[in-house]
Amino acid sequence: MKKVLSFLLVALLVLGASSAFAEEVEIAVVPKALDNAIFLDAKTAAEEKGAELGVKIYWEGSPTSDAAAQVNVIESLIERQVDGILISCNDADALKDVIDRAVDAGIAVGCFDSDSPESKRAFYCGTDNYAIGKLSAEYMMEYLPEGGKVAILTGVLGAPNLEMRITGFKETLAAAGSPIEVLPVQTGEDDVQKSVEVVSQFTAANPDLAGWFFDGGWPYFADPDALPEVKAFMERGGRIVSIDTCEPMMQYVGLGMVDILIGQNYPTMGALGVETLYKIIKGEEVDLGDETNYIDTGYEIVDINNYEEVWAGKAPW
Amino acid sequence: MKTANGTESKGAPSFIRRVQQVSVFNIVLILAGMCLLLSIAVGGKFLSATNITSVVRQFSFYAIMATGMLLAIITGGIDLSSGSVFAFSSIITCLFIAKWDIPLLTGMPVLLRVILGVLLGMLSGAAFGYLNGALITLLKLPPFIATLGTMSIARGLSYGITGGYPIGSLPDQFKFIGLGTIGAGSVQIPTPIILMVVLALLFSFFLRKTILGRWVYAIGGNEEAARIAGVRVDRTKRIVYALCGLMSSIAGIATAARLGVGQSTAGQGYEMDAIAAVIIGGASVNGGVGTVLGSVLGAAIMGVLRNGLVLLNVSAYWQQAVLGVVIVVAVSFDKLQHDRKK
Amino acid sequence: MQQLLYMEGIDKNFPGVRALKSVSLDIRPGEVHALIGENGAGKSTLMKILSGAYKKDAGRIFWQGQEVEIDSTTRAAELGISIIYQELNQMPNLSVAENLFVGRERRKNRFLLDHKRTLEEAQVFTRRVGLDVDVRTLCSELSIAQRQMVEVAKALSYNARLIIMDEPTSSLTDRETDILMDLIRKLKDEGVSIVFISHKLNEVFAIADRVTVLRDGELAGCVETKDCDEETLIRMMVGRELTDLFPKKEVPIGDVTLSVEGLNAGKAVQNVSFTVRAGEILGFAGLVGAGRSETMRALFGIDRMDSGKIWVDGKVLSGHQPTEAIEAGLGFVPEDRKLQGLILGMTVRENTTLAAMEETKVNHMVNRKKEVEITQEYVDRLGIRTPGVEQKAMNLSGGNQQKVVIAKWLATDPKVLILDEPTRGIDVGAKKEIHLLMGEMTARGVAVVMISSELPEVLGMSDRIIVMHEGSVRGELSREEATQERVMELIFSTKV
Repeated sequence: MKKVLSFLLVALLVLGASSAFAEEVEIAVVPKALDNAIFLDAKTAAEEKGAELGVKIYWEGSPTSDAAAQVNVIESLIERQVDGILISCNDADALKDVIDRAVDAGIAVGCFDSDSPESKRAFYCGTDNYAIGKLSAEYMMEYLPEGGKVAILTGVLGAPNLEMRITGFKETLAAAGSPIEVLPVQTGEDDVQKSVEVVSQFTAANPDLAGWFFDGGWPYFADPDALPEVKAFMERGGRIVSIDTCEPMMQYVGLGMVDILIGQNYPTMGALGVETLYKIIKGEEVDLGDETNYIDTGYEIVDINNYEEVWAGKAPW
Repeated sequence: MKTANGTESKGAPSFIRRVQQVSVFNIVLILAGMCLLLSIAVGGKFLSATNITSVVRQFSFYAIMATGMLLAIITGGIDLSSGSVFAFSSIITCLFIAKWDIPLLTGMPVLLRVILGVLLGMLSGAAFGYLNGALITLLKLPPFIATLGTMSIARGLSYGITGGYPIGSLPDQFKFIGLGTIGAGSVQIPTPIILMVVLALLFSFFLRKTILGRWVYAIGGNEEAARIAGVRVDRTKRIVYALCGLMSSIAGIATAARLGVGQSTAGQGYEMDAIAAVIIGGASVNGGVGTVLGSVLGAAIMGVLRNGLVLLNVSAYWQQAVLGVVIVVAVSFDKLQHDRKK
Repeated sequence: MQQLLYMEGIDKNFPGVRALKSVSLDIRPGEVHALIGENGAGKSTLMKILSGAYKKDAGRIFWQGQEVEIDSTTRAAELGISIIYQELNQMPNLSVAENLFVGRERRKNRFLLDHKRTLEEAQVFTRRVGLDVDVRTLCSELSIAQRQMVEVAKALSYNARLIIMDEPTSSLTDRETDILMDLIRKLKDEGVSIVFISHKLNEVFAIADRVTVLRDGELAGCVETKDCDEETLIRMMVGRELTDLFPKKEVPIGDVTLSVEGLNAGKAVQNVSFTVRAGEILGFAGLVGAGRSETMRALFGIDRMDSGKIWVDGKVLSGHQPTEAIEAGLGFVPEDRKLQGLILGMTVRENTTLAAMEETKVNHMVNRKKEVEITQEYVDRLGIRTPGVEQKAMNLSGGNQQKVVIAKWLATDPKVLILDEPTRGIDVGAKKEIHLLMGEMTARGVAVVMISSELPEVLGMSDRIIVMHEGSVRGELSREEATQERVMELIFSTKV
């Protein structure tokens, strides 16, 4: 009797162990919010990379941008004992603790898009927002060597990545001694309609406006017909530099309604993030970037010369 | 005709007195004052036909939503779900028009498909509103709680159905609702403005001239007394919330048409703008009071204010605070005027 | 005798109304002083000036011989003047003790409450007024009479020398009224003066030493109670003789219009049956809480009824919503005109037509002209004193508000009109007008059901009287056999 029992026990253990081996790696990707369309490219790329590596990808997050809700999401992921978490932090400090707890629980954690540098996360892969702002300023100076008034459209006020872009933009102009005059910042509160209305009214009201810097591409989610003021603005020689290179925005380059789009590389963030995490989990050799473990995913630049090529490479929305 | 204490009941008060007695007089005063100040400050920029058209078109969406919200507020309730229903209905409409590729729809003439899509979107909004009404009257949930729940449901469904992707490539026949103009010769009025005026007139008529409209006020004034007087309270409330949902859906569909894209994120927080417009327009959160004209003017005040902040080149970082101050001042001014009359 | 209070030549104007014209009032120490007058006569205004809620336009106030300026309620409290309003200002979710010291909480230091002291001190005052409950009881659990005692205790805790009671007995049962009267006598013995505002003359005679009568904002006179009778006071109040207190109109009685059989609704209504005929006034007598209002509310469809059958004009009343009851020809004037009868924020016109909206339609639309016509007709017929049909109901006096409620039901042309406490809290003149109106209605063949807690009113107005107690019908009396004693016998007979 005792023998039978011990045999059963061993069999059970073996079964259990083998099923554990058969289990695929599970990685949860947590965007800032589910309602932000900008993360969709990262989602697609992460899922493709997951399929390639045989990793199960979970796309989980809070419905709206909310650090506290995001902490809850991470806590539940710790409970579920996923193998890896790739997160875009709503707030660097608010998420530090929960990221540390996840790491202590043996979960590999990486940040993408938005970092929590003080935490124990293994790496951060994303855009250098200051550099993007700087680049935008450089393009603007190239377009407007004589100077002129330039307006800035931003989203929700206080978002760290947007503020960094504005800072990079303004500081670069100042450092170069550009004659460009930057007008007070306008906001569309991350809302397409509000962004469209603000841009339209502001453009119509300032006939001497020379340029626009959109630190996010909200107006270009709308249909080109919805932006006659922008069309007129470009026709009379206005220049626009805009961040983001989502699929719906491509047509605007062809229509001449934006001079240049500077895109964060969301597909790379998603794919590279998942791949790096996978390697960490498997204990493989992995490149974690510079001394702060920052992996620059670079940016993509879209203008009239290459937009058709880039567009063809993007999955239609 | 004389009343018991001998005074004429139907005298002819002077024109000015009569104008002052109109409940929206103060709101008109505030709006006129704002416009005057803006004209002085930025001159032609504000008064240009393009700018005025743009402002009116912008607030027309809010005004439509506010008109629905007004009904809920007059009954002493509130509809927090209207911003979400705004998004949900516009998505249903856009999906029907541009995404659902079943043979029956793809073979359909575009105009017919647009009309059916819009009707379907409106129906979905009214249905959500009716659900609100049912939760409030049958399950006796407080309106605040019931609509807080449906707010989340409608928003969640919008994300779920679309996966977060915006819906573009909408036909011109649809975009006409938001971008087109109607008129003769050089006088061209944007469709949303006409839509707003027609809906405002309809709802004004509804509230002033129909029995149901009177009941809406009676319920807000004193629900118990209204019930004893034979008012079908529960049925009226369900209709009110259905109409409120319907108006949110119309605003949402018109906005999608104006932007040429339907998005699951549209209308976030718009319910607060609608509530603000209704309250600025002289309605009371306690119910029983409020007019369509007041709400439209309330929306106009918010629209002109936003426009003014843009025209005056006020930094976005300060705009919210200024907006809040003006709302408080406007409501206080109106309230002080009313108290003085008493 | 040294006067406690002397108000001299008080004037108060409101926009368009002269509320008080050179009114004087003197109160002696340890005196119960009744203040009476029709609604709108200026009693409340005068008391609000005394308690610092209103500012007087002219006149002087002397307190214990010194001229004083009472510019705030705090000042009045400092002097020792307390007012107990008809609608008690209490927080129902706070305990008796907490209510007593609301706004001047007993505290240990700046931030912390002193619970022990609160309870101890509260007990002192509740004992003084003879309120026999634990001071930790929530006010919401007390009866109205007990809550009134809490208010008196609160006044005492302010060291009040003068307590103003604004219609304290209007919502009390007879027994509770007796207890309050005892309390007033006790306070009087302690040297506290009481100003007692009431519409009930029997109470005035029972308790008051002197009576001041106001009429249309002017002083009609101040008399010793022992030197006058009811007739005199009524004459002073209305300025004319009220020959017949209950003008009963004799009209031919027709067929049964409403019949109710075996009505049950919760505990409050048990197996109630009755009928009423066209042109008849059926009175319902009983104590407060006997189940009379509940019976009417259930049969009208406001509250759920568990079982029972109702016929109107021989047809079974189906459905259980007021809407159906109204369609069948019932009308219901509820007991609380402000909470149930009127929409205070709406105009006289809107209130009058609310139950009969279909009548106001022209071409399927509500027609304002028609509404004004209908309303004006009733304003004239019922003598509703209002500046116009567009006046908000909240601006009318109690009697006129009640007339608007009645107008609303007359506009539906009812076969049966149920009146629940139709004359409660309204002045003598309006009361009489409403009684006359009831006669007029019966003359038109309307069957009237009247609930009243004023027994003389039931006896004076009814053709038949049903006596209810503890949810069931205790008996029925014809007009001829009904007396106050017979009714009381029926109520208490089966009680052990």
